Amino acid sequence: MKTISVQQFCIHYDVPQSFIESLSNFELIELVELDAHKHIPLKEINHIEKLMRMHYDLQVNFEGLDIINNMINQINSLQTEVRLLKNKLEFYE
Amino acid sequence: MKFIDYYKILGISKNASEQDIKKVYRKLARKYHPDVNPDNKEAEKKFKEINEANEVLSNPENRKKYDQYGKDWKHAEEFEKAKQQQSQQRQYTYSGHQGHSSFSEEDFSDFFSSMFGGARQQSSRRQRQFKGNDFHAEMHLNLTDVLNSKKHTITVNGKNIRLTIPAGIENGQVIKIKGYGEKVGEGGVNGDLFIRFTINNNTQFKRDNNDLHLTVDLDFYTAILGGEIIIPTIDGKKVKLKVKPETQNNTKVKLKGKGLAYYKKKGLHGDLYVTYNIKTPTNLTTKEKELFTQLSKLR
Repeated sequence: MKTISVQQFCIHYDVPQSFIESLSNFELIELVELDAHKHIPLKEINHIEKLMRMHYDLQVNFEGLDIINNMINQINSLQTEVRLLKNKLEFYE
Repeated sequence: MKFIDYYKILGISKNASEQDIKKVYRKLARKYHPDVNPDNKEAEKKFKEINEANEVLSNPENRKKYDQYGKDWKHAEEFEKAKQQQSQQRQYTYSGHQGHSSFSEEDFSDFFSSMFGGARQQSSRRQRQFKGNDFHAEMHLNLTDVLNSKKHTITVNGKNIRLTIPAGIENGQVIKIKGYGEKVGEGGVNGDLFIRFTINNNTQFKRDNNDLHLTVDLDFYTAILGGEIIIPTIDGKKVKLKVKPETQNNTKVKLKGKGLAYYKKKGLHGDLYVTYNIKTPTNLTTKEKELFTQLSKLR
């Protein structure tokens, strides 16, 4: 699994490490420990970028991020269901 | 290119304070931001509009220029040129909202570009991305295009990409092409390309996942006495189908493996269901009527 260290990530994006720690504490992201250092799996980066934008640009706090994250997951699964149902409906039309 | 009323977009009056603009903008941004409206093109469009309105109205110099020329914005450029000759050229400084990371020149209207010379220069953490932005594209195919895996060339952001579309792809399905999104510098990771497929059914078959359904007319006598009919398959071939005697209307028969290929399951196909629509004879002759009457009396 490809990862980037939390420290390196935070330097790159100019965000405090406490931000990543808080995301992890709220179980919004999953960190892995390698050589006694916290790392971010690369597959999490898009997700973290979204959370960063919501937090810094839209002033959404961590509790809010948690709610939005859950709701977006629900939207995504509903959208998949709608797509499947639309295809099914086409069959009966 | 038409005039855009930025005040109307933000729903504020022309004498709104900077504080009011900031407050309204944040409220609207939270509502329409693409990150909180996944796959919602309307919200994305709206967000671009409010972002542009904020770019102009939250910057005192831009706002002044916008207010000064208003609907007469076409003359702004000429006036500005004259002004520049008199004084040193000034660069606009943009402050405040960081914007959505994937915002680029093309996200701004022609009106904005014409009046303010394109998007602001983004700075700080947003430009130093470790992973490039993902690109999203749409591809329209006919159902007959997804019978077999096929190579297609698509153009995304001016770049030709050759890719193999696996057979059996669903309408509305999204596939990810890793690394074909925005490119970033050394040490970073390129974004991904997401392609959403719209599959237009250009056949007489109805699709139900990997199964296909076809309704065929069956003449009355074949239905009663049995026989053979020829039916088409999705791949353009024809197959002979035995019809059992005394077949009832709406009888369904299954032709195993004559449906669509399963997505990424080589050699596996759905089935084709044929429904018989029995056509009873019309315009009967006197002789036929007599014979049917005789037949009915036998039952």
